[in-house]
Amino acid sequence: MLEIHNLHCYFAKGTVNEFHALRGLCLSVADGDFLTVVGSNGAGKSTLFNAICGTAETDDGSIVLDGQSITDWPEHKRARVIGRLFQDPMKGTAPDMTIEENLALANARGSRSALSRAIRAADRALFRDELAAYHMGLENRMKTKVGLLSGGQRQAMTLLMATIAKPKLLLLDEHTAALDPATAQTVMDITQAIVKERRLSTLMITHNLNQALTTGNRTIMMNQGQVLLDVSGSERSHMTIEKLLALYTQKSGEQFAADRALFSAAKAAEC
Amino acid sequence: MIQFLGACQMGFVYALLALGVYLTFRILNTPDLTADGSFTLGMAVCGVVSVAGQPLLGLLAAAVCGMLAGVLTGLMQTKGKIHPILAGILTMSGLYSVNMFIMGGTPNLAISKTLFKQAYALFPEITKLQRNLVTLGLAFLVCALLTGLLCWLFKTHIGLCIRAVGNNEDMVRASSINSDRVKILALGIANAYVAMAGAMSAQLQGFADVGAGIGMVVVGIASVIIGELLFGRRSVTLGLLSAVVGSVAYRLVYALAFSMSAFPAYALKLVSALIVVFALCVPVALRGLRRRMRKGASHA
Repeated sequence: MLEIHNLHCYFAKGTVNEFHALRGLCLSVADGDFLTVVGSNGAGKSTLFNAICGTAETDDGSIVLDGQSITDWPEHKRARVIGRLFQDPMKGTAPDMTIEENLALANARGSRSALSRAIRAADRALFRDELAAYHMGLENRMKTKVGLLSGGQRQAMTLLMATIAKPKLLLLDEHTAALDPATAQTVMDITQAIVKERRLSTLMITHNLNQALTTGNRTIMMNQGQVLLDVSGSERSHMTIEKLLALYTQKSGEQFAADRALFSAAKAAEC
Repeated sequence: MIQFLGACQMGFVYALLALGVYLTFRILNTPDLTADGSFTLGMAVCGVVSVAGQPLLGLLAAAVCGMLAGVLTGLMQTKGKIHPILAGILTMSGLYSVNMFIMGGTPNLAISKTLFKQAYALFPEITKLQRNLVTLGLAFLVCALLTGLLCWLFKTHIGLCIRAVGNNEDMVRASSINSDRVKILALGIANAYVAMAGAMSAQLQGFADVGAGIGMVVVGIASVIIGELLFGRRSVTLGLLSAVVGSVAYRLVYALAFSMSAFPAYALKLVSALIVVFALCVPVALRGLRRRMRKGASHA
């Protein structure tokens, strides 16, 4: 499905501030895989996503999606086959446009001719059905400007926008981190339902180690621009947060340094 | 009466300018200074083609040339990564020479054959008042057609893309749309409208003037703001209509002030600038005032 080979990415290359964010990263994702991605700050998680989406330019290596090399594709062309969500609910939607207008843009995915009608009756029916499945009441507010929605509602909408045109790959960059716990859970439930229903290959960055081990079917841990750990199957089902952290220290020779991850690990231990 | 009709004629002609400015200032969310140059460009191109005997063709040629000017600014903004304001200034500045060149190196060009004169010829033995009514009718017709065209455009997929580019460019790219191309197209359309405003105004007054475009962006923004004052800010269709009404209302108020000799004709640009400054500053000042009053109340 997704084959990443020897990926290198530098920031400010050739200056004193040069930063080697991805260092020969290799990753192979099978069709229908749901990977959770963890790693301390600066490990290169978001850069990996940026490289896959084409937001960050890569300096070496190749990215092959579904047998097609997308390494040299511009960002907007990749977006036809890749859906993406950010931590910031404001990033994925246009606030001054209505719910149906936002969805219409996402649904077209570059496939609609420029002068065709923006929103047809059939589109409206489709959007209404899809939104109704979220039980947020959004299906009755199709003409509401998205800027008036709450963060959770906007994130749920972005999720629908990212998946409505049936992408091959879904990238979730801590997409529930900015939401309150209850809303985060709702959005996470919707995410899992959509991923399951559409059988999407998915990569999800999270700082919650408990969530990382319980969501999806495979977990990778990144360190210094490479994949350090890759656990799946029975190894993963027997994995605990303590074991994962111990493994990290053993392999990298350093403590796992992400306050938020440790905080959520401590909370999980309390329960 | 004739003065009133004259103001309405101007209003409808300059409504095309307001529409172009609305597209960049309100929808793309970046004021485009190309307008000062493309207005005169439309005048010059239309003037030359009209002098050659084809005023209608002149209007179309103006639209095409205006579009090219907008596309040029768009290319500078997107492919050249030049700041949008500077890109507009560069095109506007360069266009001054181009406009002089088109007009054959003279700053003025008299146009004897215009659309309006062609229309008068259809009615023999026409009075001065009737002639003014015909002028108004023609200006209104052109404006209505072009406003309708733009309203339709914003109901299509590409119209939705243009609005989204001004609202959240990241989201547009994430929806697999080439945002650069959309922006270039939008700037092209906006400047086609501005150039048609220049072309129509050249035909209305019977001459082209190389200095006519100075301050046109501000005049356009003032019309847009007056329209919003009357209609509020709601849908795009209503926004486009309010820009047209704003332009007419502005000319009427201005003509009234002029007839009462409140200020001379050349004060238009100062008045426009003041309207825009006030419209932009008053809400900010009010917010600050309210905050200070709240603070005062909580101290007491």
